[in-house]
Amino acid sequence: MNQSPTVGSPRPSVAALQLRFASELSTRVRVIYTLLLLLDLVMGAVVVSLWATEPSLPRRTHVAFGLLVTLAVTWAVVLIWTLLRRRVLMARHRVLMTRLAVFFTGLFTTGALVLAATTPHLRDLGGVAAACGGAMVLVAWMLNRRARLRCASLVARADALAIELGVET
Amino acid sequence: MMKRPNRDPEKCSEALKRRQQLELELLVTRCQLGEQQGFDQLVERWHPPLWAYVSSMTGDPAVAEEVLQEGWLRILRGIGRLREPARLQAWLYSIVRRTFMDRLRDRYRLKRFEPIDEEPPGVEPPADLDWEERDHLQRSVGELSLADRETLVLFYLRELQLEEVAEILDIPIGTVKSRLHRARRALRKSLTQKGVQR
Repeated sequence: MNQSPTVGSPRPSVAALQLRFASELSTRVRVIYTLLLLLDLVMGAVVVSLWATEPSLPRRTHVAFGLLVTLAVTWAVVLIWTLLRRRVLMARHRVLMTRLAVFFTGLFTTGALVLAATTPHLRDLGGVAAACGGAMVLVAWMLNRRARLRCASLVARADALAIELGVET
Repeated sequence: MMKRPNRDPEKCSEALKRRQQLELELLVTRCQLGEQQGFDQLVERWHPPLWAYVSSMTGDPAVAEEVLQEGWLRILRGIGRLREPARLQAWLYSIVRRTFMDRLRDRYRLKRFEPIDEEPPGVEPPADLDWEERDHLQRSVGELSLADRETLVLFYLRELQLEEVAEILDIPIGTVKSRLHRARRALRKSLTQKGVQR
């Protein structure tokens, strides 16, 4: 498009904007946020398991556990919001991040099950932690399945369009 | 027997329109997948017209730059949720316009907003005008109200369809037509006063 001297060249320049987009789309930052979210969820699950398996605690300890769980939930909300609205996950990012989620929640659940099976006095704790982990694995797997389906449909559509237009994908 | 090449202009323009729509859809799909190349193409194709639009609205390159930077970030964050790729053009303009309006609202809230009347907003006048006529036209467009100016810019200078302008401005088509009518009348009056006859 022709630019008149009145309007001038676009600012920032196209090249500068493309550079900015490249850093905005960085996978590394998204992996860091996803790992932080998973760590937060796993720590939250551990705290909930400890709290649930220690019934005879003084009131102040209950309050402390409650605060820790609230803190974990708050962080989870902030990190999920960041991944949905700020460092937005595009279709391919979602597949990668949900894969990470399945792997790490699976690892946590396996660890909890091993703990419950091999350490008699920690059986209850391990059982509750494994139940929390199992729920997280299920959610992560469902998200991963949805992400893969969406990505596959987008790739198929892009391929079909490229063929129709006679361009390379 | 050899077939005659299709030279029907209506059919050619239909085919061209269809191709453009498919290209848009492919571009949006690539962006939704998260392909860097897709975003590069999006910026390459749409940054200059969006810049011209924002510049004509603000008249201040520094403000236009800020609005556009924020607008592009919103585009990047929102393109994954765009369900109808054919609406890409209207969607891009409406996001940039919303960003500009949010900025205006912020400035009003802070009571720091000063109307820009010394330097009229820059527009791209038709190339066949001489420098004096171009200057008069720019000043006259700059004197229009913001609502009339943005309607005029989108319809005549950015060459969008009435439906697209209505969608971007979030107003009925009838209102777009009445704004265009008012803007044309005001422009004609202003240009006549400045001695421009055509």
